Amino acid sequence: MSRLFPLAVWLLAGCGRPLLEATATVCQHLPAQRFTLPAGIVQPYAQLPPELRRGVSLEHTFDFDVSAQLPPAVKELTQSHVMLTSVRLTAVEPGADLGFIDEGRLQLQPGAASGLEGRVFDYARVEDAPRIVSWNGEAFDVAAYVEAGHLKYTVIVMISSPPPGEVRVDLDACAEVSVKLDSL
Amino acid sequence: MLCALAAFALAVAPPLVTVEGEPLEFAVNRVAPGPPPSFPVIGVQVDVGAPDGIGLSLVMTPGRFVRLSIGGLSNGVGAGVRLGAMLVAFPSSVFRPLLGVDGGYVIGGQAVWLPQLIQDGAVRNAISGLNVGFVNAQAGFELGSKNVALTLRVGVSYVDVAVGNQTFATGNGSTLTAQHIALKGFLPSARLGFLFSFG
Repeated sequence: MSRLFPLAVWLLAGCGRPLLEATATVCQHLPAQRFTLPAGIVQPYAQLPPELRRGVSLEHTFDFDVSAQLPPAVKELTQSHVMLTSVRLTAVEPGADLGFIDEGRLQLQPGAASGLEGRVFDYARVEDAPRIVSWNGEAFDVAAYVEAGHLKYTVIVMISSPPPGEVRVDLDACAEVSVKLDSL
Repeated sequence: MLCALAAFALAVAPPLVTVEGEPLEFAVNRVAPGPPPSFPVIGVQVDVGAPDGIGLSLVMTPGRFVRLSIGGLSNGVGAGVRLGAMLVAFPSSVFRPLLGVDGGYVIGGQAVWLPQLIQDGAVRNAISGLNVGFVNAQAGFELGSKNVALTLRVGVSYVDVAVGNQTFATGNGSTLTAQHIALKGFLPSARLGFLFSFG
């Protein structure tokens, strides 16, 4: 009988389908984030030589740790996937123009002891509205980074012209999260 | 007044007869089938379990070894329906093994009472708007007479749970929102109930 029960469960589970799966779309909303020039740049942006202007990025780092609430026992039994799917910046001021942003990329910063490399990947820009800039690229599984500890991600925007003073944006980052239990 | 007149007319009227002149009540008795079925043909079952919740079902017995049921459910955060079919072994004995399948769906927001008993706002929000679909495959037994019996069933259920959107404040005006939350898969299930049969 004890041998029949797992067999029955396996048959009922549809030959390879997970025993139990929880899925959700998780979005982090960070309101009114300020983009400012890096502190190391003391020279006014407009006075920088053109070749340096192109290389200057405005950076901001956000925490993204969706599995922090999972108990350790659940983590051991399950397989987690956190597919980062989109990052979107929306200017807070209605008349603001984010057209100065030329490119964007996302940099992951895993915990120091994780042994994982910081991965940098670019997002293709598919929306070019004056107030909203959105990167929707190929989804990337950051589960290993999250499980290794505290993950940070940095949004880097490349500019070719200086922003008109301080820019405040709402940042929304979304991920498809799934937690699967394959066996008991 | 009309009702009283109709009753009086029926009392004094001659008996209805067939075309052969035979009173109708005798004719009906003559063509009626033999003895009535030895098993109750209809019943009411009250049960509680997971993932069903609390159920009240009408149970029909179209055959000696088969039972069909249809009923209503409440799990505290919603209300729904359940349909089921079951095979009964040794229907004449006191201990009757059961094997059955049933499925149901509970729509969140209907007949809600459980969230009102919970103080924690996050938990209360999490279970509000919970939709639950399930299919049970269960085995068990009935214990009791033909008219009153205790039922216990255990088995495996495929559940499809959809949870409403959840938003958590993470400080400094930041929020973490979970949308399209779903839980699908197989879970152990059990149900305890009482069956009251008639006929």
